[in-house]
Amino acid sequence: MFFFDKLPVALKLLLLSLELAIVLYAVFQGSTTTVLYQGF
Amino acid sequence: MPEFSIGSYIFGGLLIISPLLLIWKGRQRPVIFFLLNLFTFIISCKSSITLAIAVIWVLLPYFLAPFLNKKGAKPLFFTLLGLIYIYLMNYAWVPFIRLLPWNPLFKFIGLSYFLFREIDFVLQYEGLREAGVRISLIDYLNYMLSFYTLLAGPIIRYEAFVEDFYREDRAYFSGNELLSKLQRILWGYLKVYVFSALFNNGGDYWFERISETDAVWKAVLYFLLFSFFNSAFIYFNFSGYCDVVIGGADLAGLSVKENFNKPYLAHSLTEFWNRHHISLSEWIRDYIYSPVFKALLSGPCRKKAFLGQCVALFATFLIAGIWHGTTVNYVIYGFLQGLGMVFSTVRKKRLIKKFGKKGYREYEKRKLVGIMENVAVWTFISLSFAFVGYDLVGALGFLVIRGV
Amino acid sequence: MDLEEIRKKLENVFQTVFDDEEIEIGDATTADDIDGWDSLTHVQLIVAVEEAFNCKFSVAETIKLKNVGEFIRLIERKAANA
Repeated sequence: MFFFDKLPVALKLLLLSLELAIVLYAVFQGSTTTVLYQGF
Repeated sequence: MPEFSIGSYIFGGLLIISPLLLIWKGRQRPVIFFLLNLFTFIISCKSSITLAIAVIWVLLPYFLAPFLNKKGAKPLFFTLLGLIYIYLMNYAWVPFIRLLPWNPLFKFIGLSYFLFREIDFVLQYEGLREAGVRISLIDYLNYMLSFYTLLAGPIIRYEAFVEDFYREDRAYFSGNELLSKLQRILWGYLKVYVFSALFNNGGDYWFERISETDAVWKAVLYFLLFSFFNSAFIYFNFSGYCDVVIGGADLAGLSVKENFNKPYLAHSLTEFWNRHHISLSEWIRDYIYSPVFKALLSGPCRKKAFLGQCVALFATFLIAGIWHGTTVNYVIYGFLQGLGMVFSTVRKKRLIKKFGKKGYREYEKRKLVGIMENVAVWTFISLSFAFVGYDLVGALGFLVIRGV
Repeated sequence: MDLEEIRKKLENVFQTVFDDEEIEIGDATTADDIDGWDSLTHVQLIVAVEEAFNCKFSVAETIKLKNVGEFIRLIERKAANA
C-alpha cells in the first residue's frame, strides 16, 4: 500500500496491531454487516 | 450453523494455517490444499442434502467434459446447466420455477460462482488437452473449491489456476513483504467490517426516510443520498472482501487476479466495468459478449457490425445483471446496465466521429470533461445499484399505491 | 497453404478490418501493437478470418487469439484438418 511501505518497521507493526484490534472489535461486537455473497 | 464468511473463526484460522501448510513443496501439496478446501466446503454446507446437491453440481462438469465435443452437446449441456441453476437459486419470477417444489437447503455457498468456473472448464477442455495442460480430478476440485475464491470470486480460469499452483519459481518473501501482505488483508477487513458497515447503515437510514416524507423533492433527495451510500457500501464491501482473499492467497503463494482498480476514477461506464469486478467483466466478455456478437456478425448483422456490437453488449449486461440476484430488481438492474453500456458506446462513437481519434483523446483530457463524466458515471452507477440488495420494485410499487 | 502464405492472407484481412493498408503483421504482433484492436474489432477480425480461410473458431479459441503467431498456427492446423 502506498504510504504503509514507507513507514519504519515499528510503526508498521503498531498500525497492524491497531487495525487488528479494530477489526476484531467490529467483527465480535456484531457489526451487522454481511458480506455480499450473491444470492445470500 | 451461522453463515460462513470471511469473518468466521474458521476462515480467519485458514488464512493463518494455509500459508504454513502450503510452504510444502512436495507432491502432496495439491492434496493438502484439497483437504483444506474440502473441510471448508463441508463446513459451509447447511445440511447433508445441501452437501449432496453441491457435490453433484461440482463433479458433473468434470466427468461430462470429455464427452461434450459432439456437435450440439455443449449448447444442450449449458442449457440444462442454466435451467438447473435457475431452479437451485430459486428465480421466483421465472414462470415454471414456481411449479416445482423447492427448499432453501438446495442453495449452497459459491453456487453462483461455481457456474462460471464450470463453464470455463468445459469450454476450454479440448484446448487444454491439446495444449497438454494438467487436468486431474484433484486439480479440478482445488480450482472449483479453493476456499479463497469460494465465497464470491474473483473468477479465475482453470488454466491460470493450474499454472499458478504448480509454479516452480516461488520465492520466500522478506519480512517487509510479509508486513505488506498482512496490511492488505487487515485493510480489507477494515473496509468490510468498518467502512462498508457505516455506509450500509447510512444507506438503510436514508432508504427508510424516503417513504416517510410527503414532499416529492425530499423523496428524490433521500433517494439520491440512499443511492450514493449504497454504492459506497458495495464498493467497500466487495473490494474489501477481495483484498482479504487476494491478500490471503498471496500469503500462501497463490496468485488470485485483481478484481478492482480504482473504479471511482472511471470516466465512462465501459471504463467502470473494466475497473469494478474485473474478473466478471472479463468472463462475460469472453463467454457471452464474444459468442453473441460473433453469431450476430455471421448472421443478421453481417453488414451492421456496430449494431451487432450494441445488441451483444445489451444482452451481455442484461444477463450479467440477472445473474446478480433472483428477483425482478436484478432484471431491471441488468436492463439499466445494458442501456448504459449501449449509451456509453454510442456516445464514444459519436465523439470520435465529431472530433476524430486525436481530437477525442484531447477532449477526454480536459479537466472539466473529466469531472463531468466522472460525476455522470457515479450517479448512474449509484442509481442502478439501488436495485442491488434492496427491493426497489416493491418500494416503488408501495409508493405508487400510496400516492393513488 | 504454407505459413508465409497464411501470414500474407491474414495481413490482408487485418488491413480490411482495421481499414488501414499500412498494417503489417508478424508472429510477435499482439493486440497492443495494432491501434484499434479492441473487443469490437477482435470479434470482427475472427469472423473475417473465418470467412477468408473457410474455418470456424470455437469460443475457447476466439478468446486465446491475441497473438498473431498463434493465429497463423491455428489457421494452419485447421486448414490441414479440412
